[in-house]
Amino acid sequence: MKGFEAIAFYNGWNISATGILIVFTALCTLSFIISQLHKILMIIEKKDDYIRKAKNIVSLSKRTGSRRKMRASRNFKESARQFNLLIRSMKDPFSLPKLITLAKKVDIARPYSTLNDLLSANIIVPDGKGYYSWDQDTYTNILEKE
Amino acid sequence: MELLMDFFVNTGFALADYRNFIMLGIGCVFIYLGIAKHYEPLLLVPIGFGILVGNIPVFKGLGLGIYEDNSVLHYLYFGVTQGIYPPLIFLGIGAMTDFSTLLARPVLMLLGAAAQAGIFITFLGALALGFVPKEAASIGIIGGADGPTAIFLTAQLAKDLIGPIAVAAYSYMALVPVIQPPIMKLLTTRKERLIRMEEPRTVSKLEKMIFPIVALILCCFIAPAAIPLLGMLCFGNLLKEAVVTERLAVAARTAIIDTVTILLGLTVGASTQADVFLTPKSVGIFVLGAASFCVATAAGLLFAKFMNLFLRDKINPLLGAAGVSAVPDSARVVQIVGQQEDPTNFLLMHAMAPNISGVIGSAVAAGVLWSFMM
Repeated sequence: MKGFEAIAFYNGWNISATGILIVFTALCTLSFIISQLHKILMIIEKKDDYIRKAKNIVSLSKRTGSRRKMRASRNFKESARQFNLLIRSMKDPFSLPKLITLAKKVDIARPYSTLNDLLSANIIVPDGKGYYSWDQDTYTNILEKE
Repeated sequence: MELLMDFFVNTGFALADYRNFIMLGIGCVFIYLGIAKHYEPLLLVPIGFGILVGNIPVFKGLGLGIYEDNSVLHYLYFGVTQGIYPPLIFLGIGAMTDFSTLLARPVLMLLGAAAQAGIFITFLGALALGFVPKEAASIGIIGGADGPTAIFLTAQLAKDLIGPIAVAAYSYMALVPVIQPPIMKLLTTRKERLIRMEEPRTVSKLEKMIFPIVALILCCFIAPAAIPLLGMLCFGNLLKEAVVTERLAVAARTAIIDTVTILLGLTVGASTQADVFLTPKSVGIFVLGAASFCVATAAGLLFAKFMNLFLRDKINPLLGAAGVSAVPDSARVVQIVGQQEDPTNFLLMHAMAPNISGVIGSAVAAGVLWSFMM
């Protein structure tokens, strides 16, 4: 048997087409993986940088989230204004226990929770020596501009 | 006088016929091409000498011929018929090969895949000429331009054809500088041949170490029958790139591959005994082998031109011709043809990428054909 008849009889067309397809699939897949390999390795090598960046993003989003929460709370705005007035009457920098005592005396609602929010929003910032000060700019940005 | 006559009857002069002399002539041509013309001397000289060894007429039954069960040559030939030598050669090739250019520009790997079309088209041609499928597959693999792969597949599928197929494969590999340039010039324009390639990026050591593992797992999951060849190729390359196994890599790329090349070349040559080799089938194999090489080269070139339709940074289509394995000869031919148009255009480094992917592609193709024929 010879010619096209032999090719058809031995299933030659299918074998050839499938064979070429398999070789192409193997090398195309390998080619694709290789083309991505150095990118993957670069990510692994710089994983510490990426983790640091990711942490920054998370903390930023937390801050933003807490700011959003604060924005949502009318009571917080009022309490923050009261805290602002209290702190003006104190020496800068001030101690937190003293601020809390004063806040309780003037009956500010939820003084601990409000103070925590003010710290999270970086309106009250530590000076690194055990005292704190009031960041007027941040306060203005978050509350006064709304 | 009778004793003298008995002795004469057993000499080569009395036993020889014209076919022996033809084969001895072919053996001498191989040795000449290897030594004088430097065409694949490491292969053609052992094969040529093997042809001389195998075609000295001997008295059957003395245990001298390669096809006699108890002969020394038969034991050495065992490594060919059982497919032992080709994987060991692949081990050495792996330990010698630098995959950097391939890793730097993986898209060139597709050229190595395209050139393998020659294998399957020749397979169809062999079927059409009346060869049975196992023989046709063994003939088709000549188009892979990879001697060890051709011998390996033929040893699995058509042991009787090892001699002609091995000789055809290695002959055409040696003749790559003669066969390829006319096809390359015919299928490309001068403008295309002048295309310059971008400098490849630097490849890290880690990438080079990961590549053989990824290539092995991926290709052998797709075509498991390629394990003996690709497994050894990738293993050899890992030995090279791992650095800590440098001693093993050195052994693989020097002592092991050299020893195996000698044994393979000599026994393959010796297997071309005139009565086995000079048959109409062998003529068919040589014709189809030449066609296979031409088709593979053309397929690579045309696919490179096809890729250029979609690529922003065009590739020099001459690189497609390096898709046939024949490492590194076909890459060298690309360099030579490219420099004939522009002496300052260096394509060798870029041509190594499709060249090496051709080795992988032909091993996968052999695995595929083997699994189809089982």
